[in-house]
Amino acid sequence: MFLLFLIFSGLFLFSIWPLFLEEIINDKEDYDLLNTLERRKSILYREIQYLDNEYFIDNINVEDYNSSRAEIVSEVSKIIDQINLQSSNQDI
Amino acid sequence: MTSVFGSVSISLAAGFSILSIFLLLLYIRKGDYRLFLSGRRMAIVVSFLVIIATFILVNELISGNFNIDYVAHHTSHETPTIYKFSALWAGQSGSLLFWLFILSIFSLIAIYQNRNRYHKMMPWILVVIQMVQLFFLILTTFITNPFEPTKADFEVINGLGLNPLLQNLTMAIHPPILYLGFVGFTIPFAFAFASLMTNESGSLWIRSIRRWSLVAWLALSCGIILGGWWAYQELGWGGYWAWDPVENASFMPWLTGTALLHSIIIQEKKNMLRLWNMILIMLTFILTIFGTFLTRSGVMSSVHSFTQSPLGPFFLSFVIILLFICAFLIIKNLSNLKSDKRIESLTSRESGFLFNNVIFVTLCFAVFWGTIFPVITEAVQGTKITVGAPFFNQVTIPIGLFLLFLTGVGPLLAWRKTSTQNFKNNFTLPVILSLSSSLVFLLFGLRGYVVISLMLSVFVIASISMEFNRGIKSRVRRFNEPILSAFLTLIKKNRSRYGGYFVHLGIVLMFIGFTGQAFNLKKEIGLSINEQNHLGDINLKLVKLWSEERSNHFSWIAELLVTEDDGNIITSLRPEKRIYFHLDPNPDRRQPHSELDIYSTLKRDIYSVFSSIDTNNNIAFFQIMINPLVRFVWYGGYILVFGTFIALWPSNRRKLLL
Amino acid sequence: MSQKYKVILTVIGLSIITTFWILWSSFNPVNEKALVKFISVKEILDSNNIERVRIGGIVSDSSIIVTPSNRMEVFFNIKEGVSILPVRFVGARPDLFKHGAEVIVEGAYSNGLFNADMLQTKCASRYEGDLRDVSSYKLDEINI
Repeated sequence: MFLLFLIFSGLFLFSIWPLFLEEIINDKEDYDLLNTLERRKSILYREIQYLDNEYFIDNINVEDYNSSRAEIVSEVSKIIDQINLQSSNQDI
Repeated sequence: MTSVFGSVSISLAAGFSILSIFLLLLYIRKGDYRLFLSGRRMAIVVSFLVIIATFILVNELISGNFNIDYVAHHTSHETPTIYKFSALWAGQSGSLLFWLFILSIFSLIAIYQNRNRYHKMMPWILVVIQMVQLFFLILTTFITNPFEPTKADFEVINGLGLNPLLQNLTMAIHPPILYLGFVGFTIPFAFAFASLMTNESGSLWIRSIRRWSLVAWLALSCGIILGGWWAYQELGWGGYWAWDPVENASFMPWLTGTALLHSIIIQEKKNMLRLWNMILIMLTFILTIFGTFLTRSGVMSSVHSFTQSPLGPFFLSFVIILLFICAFLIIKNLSNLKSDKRIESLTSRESGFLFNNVIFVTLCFAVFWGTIFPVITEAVQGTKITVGAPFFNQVTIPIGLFLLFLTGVGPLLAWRKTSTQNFKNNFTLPVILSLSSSLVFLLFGLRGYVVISLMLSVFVIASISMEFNRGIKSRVRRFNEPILSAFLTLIKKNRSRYGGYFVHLGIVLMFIGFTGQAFNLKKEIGLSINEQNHLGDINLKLVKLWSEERSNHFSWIAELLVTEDDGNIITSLRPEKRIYFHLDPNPDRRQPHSELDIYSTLKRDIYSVFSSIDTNNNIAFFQIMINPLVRFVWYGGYILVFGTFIALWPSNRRKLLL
Repeated sequence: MSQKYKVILTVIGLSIITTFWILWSSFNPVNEKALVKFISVKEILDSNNIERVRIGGIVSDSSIIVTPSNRMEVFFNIKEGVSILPVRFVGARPDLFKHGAEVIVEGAYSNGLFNADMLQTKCASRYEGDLRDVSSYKLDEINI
């Protein structure tokens, strides 16, 4: 019984431990933003590759292909700008 | 002593779960990061406690502690160890604990996977998982506790044990696989719910749940196929699917899950159908809970047995509450869920996906309708109207065939808009092939659905081959690769897509197998030694009939010589009639069991069941069936699993994304 | 008409057609086996309808008689509460069919006999019933 009590109070202590820490500044969301942008970028890269493949196997016609590709490319360049801005902010 | 430990574990887990929900909600309000850390740790502790409780129960089952009611009812000293282990999910309370166990493991994986991601959504994701865990924890703590002590006024020295007829490996492993599928949809649901609460647009998280959904879907498919295989091999009625409520309960989330896997692609590629995806995720999750309700509450046998166990009302209210919350959230977020792009053409791949989704959902509705029809009629009219397999076949065959048609059309459509030129290029060959094949089938004297089904199968196979062909050709042209390596890199470069085509191929094979059912033959015959009878184009002759006493049963064995009409020997079949507990003085406690024998080829299965024996006159009675093309169903299943593995296999680039 | 509306109309049309098809099928069953009334033994004894119905109950004790000349044919009584219904069934009997088994039969009732063409036993997914006490098994047979 004592052992039981010990284990369960150990678990309890483990889980409430963070509450007694000093206040943590939550900078995770900035980190999240950069992370999100990076992922978004790689997704768009894949999207371009996918679009190229579709074009080569005739699953999409020329005008659609050109316009969609231009659209994605401009989106990627915007994201890269944002990434640069973010990381330069973090460096400071 | 240890059983107390188990009981305390699940009660404490329930407590931790409440605390965790409380802290996480507080974090969402106050934004103090310490609250989140603590809440997350508590979620980990909940999972940990559930896992401990499960291990304790398994330990008690294997060591045979018959002071626990569940152990006494589901195992005995004689039960082989593997079935002592599988007794964990043989009964109600154990299977609920097992459900929790899987959910806990999934929850730990989800926490670990996303420890550095989705900081805005994570609290809500955890809250949802904790809510579901709490629901099951309340059930296992207060309503059907697996650690309940045995109530008997004598000392229980041995348990009841598992029915020997259920001691079959397939039967033992198919429920946990189904559960993996059922529980797996909780995580996508948690993500979807969290995204609604935080207004997170679906562009990123939808990718994370795609894998979860695919894994859950694979498990669900495997569970369904294994269940059918077991029924076919063991139950002796010659079929693999009976439209039984238990089967339907797993089939409904499979249908909406399949729809979801398709429409996720559109959201990934085009950021469209967001509202629709949201509905599908929630529907699939609710259907998994509803399925558990159907199979566990006894509502199917009668509305009146529903209230005998408190489990039914609990589940039903959970389902209804979930429905209301989901509907409310979706309506509230309607404007956020609107996609900025719209489908532009009726003949685009996007609309193909959309139509496929609509059909999947209506098919699910058809199954749902047929399943609850008896319950509704009993509740409303007082007389229960049972729904038989003919009804389900009548309703679902046309819908299923239309889906098969769309499977073929989809890959031939171009994104956004299919030009007339494209139409000609892509459709000519498959249409010509399928129409000419249908002429051949008609010439062979086939009619009706059979012709349509086979024709569509040809159509789909042609369209899939063309898709592969175009991909390979383009690689050969662009990179000058040899054909085989072009084929392999094509798959490697786009696993989810070409894996999906393999799954389609598997489904087509299964449809061919289903079509074979139209030609099933069945006959019940009585034969004495050297007598013969015939069915279709085969003759069956009873050449030998003898009995054997084996370790735990007594068996009559018949040897049937199967020949063609012209005398060519096909095979000999040895179905058995076994009597378990044959030494029991009370004849009603002896348990007969027909061990069937199947001669299986690609063309047809010859299925023999030893149904009874007249010992006075030495006449044996058999049920003989000829089931054409059944093997296609199993082969289709293998290909389906293979295709899903291709789609799931992580590529190097994927690691970046996950 | 713009393509956008065509898509929406097709989706709505598809769902209406299939929903209608489902409802239509539930009022026009393909054959008599598709939708069958499930009634109690008492109800069938009181009424004299000859439509196809489904009955559930317990096989009464020592009522199973297999016809000696045709072993596929069996007569037995189904008991539900106090009502007893004589049943005739021709065909392969399920393994778990025995005295005291819970069965479901489907067929038509006429002239005091229920002619069944379907006989199912309730699946015994585990042993139902009470725990065994010491006298019900031999301890020396158990190897632990």
